[in-house]
Amino acid sequence: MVLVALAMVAIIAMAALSIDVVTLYLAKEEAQRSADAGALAAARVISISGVTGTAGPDNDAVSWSKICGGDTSLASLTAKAAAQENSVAGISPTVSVTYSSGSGSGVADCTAVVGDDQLGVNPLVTVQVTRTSLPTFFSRIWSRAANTVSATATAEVFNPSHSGAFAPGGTIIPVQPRCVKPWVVPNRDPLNPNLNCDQGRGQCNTLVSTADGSITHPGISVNGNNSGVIGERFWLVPDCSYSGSSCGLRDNPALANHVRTTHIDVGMPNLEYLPGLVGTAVNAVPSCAGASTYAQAIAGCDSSTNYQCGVASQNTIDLGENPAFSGDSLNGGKCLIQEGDPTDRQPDGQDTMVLSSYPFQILAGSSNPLSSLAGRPGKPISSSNSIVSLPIFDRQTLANAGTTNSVTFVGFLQVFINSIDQYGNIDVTILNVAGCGNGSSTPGSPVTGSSPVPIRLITPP
Amino acid sequence: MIRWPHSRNWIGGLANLGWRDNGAALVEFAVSLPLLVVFVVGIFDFSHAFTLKQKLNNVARDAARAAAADPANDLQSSSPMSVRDAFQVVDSYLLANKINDCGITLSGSPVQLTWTSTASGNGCLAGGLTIVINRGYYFPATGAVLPSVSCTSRNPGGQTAIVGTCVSIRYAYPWRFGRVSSLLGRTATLPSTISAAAVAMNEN
Repeated sequence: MVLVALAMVAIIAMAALSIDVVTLYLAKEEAQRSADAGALAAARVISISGVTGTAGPDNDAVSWSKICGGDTSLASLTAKAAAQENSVAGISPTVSVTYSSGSGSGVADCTAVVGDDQLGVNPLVTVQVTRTSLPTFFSRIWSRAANTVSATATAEVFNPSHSGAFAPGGTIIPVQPRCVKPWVVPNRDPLNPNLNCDQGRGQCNTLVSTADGSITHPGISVNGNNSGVIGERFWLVPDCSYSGSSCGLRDNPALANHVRTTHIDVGMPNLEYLPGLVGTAVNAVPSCAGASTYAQAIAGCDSSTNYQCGVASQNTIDLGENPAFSGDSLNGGKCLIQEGDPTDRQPDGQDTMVLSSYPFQILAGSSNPLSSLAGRPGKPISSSNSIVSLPIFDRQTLANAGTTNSVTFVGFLQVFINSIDQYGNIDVTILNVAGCGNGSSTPGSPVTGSSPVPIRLITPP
Repeated sequence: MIRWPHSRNWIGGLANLGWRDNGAALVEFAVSLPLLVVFVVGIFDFSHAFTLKQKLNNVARDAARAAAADPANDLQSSSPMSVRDAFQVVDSYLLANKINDCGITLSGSPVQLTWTSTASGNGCLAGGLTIVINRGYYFPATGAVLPSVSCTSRNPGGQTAIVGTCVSIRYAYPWRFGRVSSLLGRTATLPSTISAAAVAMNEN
């Protein structure tokens, strides 16, 4: 009996090893999972908020502070919530969120980060997850009653605009967003310097610099106060006559603020878009999209077209498509945002965006599938199918009707679609601008993501 | 006759106290055997369960991340791309790790944005395997509550609903410990399934 009693100590020690240590490893793994989810959620909030379009907190401390200025800011709260949705040993863990620019240590308030300019284009968010009082079962015989595990994850938000200033060799690192819509816009900001630019009343400024990819008018416009490109609201109008199966150009090269008398009951500001060439493999197409590949690429996700940013003449505008007269822009766009009647100019079904205060809120429309779940119509939600990415091309004169033209994409816009009308005019609000310049003859390896300001988990520098 | 070595020496002598000890070792062994069996089987059984739990954790996380990064355009169809992706991640991971997938196939009839697939074929236990994928899992930014195994969203009231993807996996686990523990006269109550759930915020 005594032998057994002695042997039991050894056996319990083995059990302690196999069960308790595995419990620790499992908890560690769960903590890592929780931290990853939190870091990505915070990065996503920063990306979608558009603050990377302000050239850093020194230029716009108020906006940055709302997004990542400490524990009660939007990104920190979201990171915490997402991390705590993932259990560590059965309960929600403790979460702390810090920000850094890659140099210097992380701080809870991103407006206090060392390296402001770099933070402006490439904020890093680090989430640390800690689970204390992890119970033990057998190792209590060594009076070890509770353990603590923790895990850390770092995610980056990458806006390529002006990234050459921080990258080795000064080369801009391009981006390659997924599911880009074939609405190609010229490098013209219809609201900068003012509403009357282009059309013989002084030239509009660019959206992004073709030289270094930087954003021409960084900042956030709240309630249309024109203090920056983010939050600008205007109409995208087809640069194609409202007749014929191919695109007869209205303006060549494309302009902003075209004064139109027919097939547009929208006022200014506006920006003319051109049809991009779409591939044949379109994914995630909703059933309402119809048969046209162009409309499907709008409603779904065109995965076969390789949108190269910053590389000369690597992309194609297809004037064989008339997105306005064919109804493709309307059908695809209406299907995408789940708009009801496009003729009445009222939001009916689609999600809407509140621009009167920052951060801009997305309100669930009545046709959003989330609406029916808990009485959400009109309530704020964190994501929407109305948010899309569009290519910006280096404005050039095109060979007319029915032909394809090689053009250079110098950046991407991420916009929220407010509505779409029966003539293929699209009411959009800019959420993000990403510039890659036009200088590269050899494509660098781009950062891919679901948005022009991609997010990803990284190993902290 | 089974004897512990040195049982006649000081350790054995303590227990013997003058009694004949020819059968004592056997009795000792018989008394301690259930305890040994319970321990050995317990170590194996719980380790196996932990390994399964860890694998399910890993794959739930991978599946949630994969779906959350996919486009959400076609969520109102019966089998959207992102849901197929998430399901495929789970199924191929299980098979690659030599875990019986019970012959599971993706459910084609979602309830709102939740796809619940179940199977108990291929010789699985009753309860088999359940994979829940909720692409419209939403929750408030404050007040941490873990997702249920059915990935039911939580109404955020006036707050912004953070929309994410919740993947929950349940797998019926054949406990051996329950039967063995009756050797000690106690019946262990153990959960019939091992489950894991993961949430990732939707990128689109």
